[in-house]
Amino acid sequence: MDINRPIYLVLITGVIISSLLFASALALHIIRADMSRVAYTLALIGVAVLLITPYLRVAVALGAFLFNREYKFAVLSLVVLVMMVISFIAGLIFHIAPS
Amino acid sequence: MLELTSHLSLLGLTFIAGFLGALMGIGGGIIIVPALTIIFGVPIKEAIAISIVTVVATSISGGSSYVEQRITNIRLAIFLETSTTIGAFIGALLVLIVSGNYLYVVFALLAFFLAASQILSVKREVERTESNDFMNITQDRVSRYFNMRGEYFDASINHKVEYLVKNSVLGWIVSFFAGLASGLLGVGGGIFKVSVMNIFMNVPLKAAVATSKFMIGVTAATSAILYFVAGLLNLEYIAPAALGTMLGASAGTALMNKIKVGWLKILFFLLMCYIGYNMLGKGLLLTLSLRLPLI
Repeated sequence: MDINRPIYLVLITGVIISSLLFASALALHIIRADMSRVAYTLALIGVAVLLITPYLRVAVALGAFLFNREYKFAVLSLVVLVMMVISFIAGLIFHIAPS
Repeated sequence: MLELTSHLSLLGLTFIAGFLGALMGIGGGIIIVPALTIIFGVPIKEAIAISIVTVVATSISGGSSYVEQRITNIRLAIFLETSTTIGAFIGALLVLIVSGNYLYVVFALLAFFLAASQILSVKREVERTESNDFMNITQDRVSRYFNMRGEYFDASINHKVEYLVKNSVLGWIVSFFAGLASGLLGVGGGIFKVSVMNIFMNVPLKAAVATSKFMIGVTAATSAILYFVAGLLNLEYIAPAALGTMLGASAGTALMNKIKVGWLKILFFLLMCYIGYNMLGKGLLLTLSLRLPLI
C-alpha cells in the first residue's frame, strides 16, 4: 500500500470538516449576533476535530506500516503515539499548559 | 463581541501567517502571537493558546497538500517525531523545575548559526537541485538501516530530485533539543526542524519544508489540548484565526514548489535572523534585563 494515501485522507478529512465548522461559526457570528452561543459551539467542535486529527494521523500511519509489514516504522509510529498520549496525561496531572 | 471588520482583519492576518508558514515549513506563531497581543489586545496566554491551535490547523492543512504533492518524507517525519515528542515531553516537565530563560540565548545562537549555514549554502543547493546531485553521498549505518531516502518533483525546474538521508543520529539528537525547546519555551518547532534536515541530513530544502510542516502538528496538538482543557481558548477568535491560517496554508503550499529553491533559502535566512534576534532579545531581557532595540 502507498503510505501517502491513507495519511492524506485522514488529514484532508480533518481539514474539510473543521474548516466547514469554522466557516459556519464565523458566518453565523456575523449574520446573527443573537446566536453567538451556537457559533461558539460550532467553533468548539471544529477545534476538537482539528486537535484529534494529528493523533489519528499517527494511528493511521501505525496501521498502514503494519499492513505493509514495515515493522521498523510501525514501532516508531507506536513510540510517537505513546509519547503523545503520555504527554497529554502528564499535562493534565501537572497542569503544565497555563504556566 | 468582535466586529465584522476585526473578524475580517484577523482572517487576513492569519492568512498571511499561514501562507508564510507553508512556504517555510513553520507554524507561524512568530507572526500570530505579537499580532494578537498588539493589534487585538488579546492577553498573552490566550494569544499563545490561539497560536498553538493555528499551528495544528496549518500543519494539517499545509501538510495534507504536501503529502498529496508527494514532497513530504513520511518515514523521515515519523523517525524524527520520536525524538521531538520525547524532547517536548521532557521540556514540558522541566518547566516545572527550572527556568528556561537562559535557553533563549542558546537557541538564538543556534538560529544565527543555522541562518549563516543557509545563506552560505544557497549556491551549492541550487546546483545540487538542478543537477539532481543529492544521491552522491555515503549513508551512515542508521540511515541505511531505515533505508532513509526520498524524491520529489521540483515544479520550478521541471524534474525529479532524489536524495539519500544521512546523519540520522545527529538529526535525531538535534530534533530532541528542538522538541525540548518547544516544550520549555513554546517556540522554534518549525525552523529548527527544517534546518536540521536541510543542513545536517542532506534533505533538499523543499522536502525539508514539507516534512517539517507535516511534523509540527504532532507536538502542537498535545499542547493545544492542554490549553483547551485549561480554559484558555478564546472561542471568539478561534474560528477566523484557524480558518485564515488554513486558507493561507493552502495558498502557500500551492505556490511553494513553483518557487526556485535559491529564493526560498534567502527567505528562510531572513526569517532565521529575525527569529534569532527575537529570541536573543527575549533571553537578554529575562536573564540580564538588557533591552535590545525592537525591529
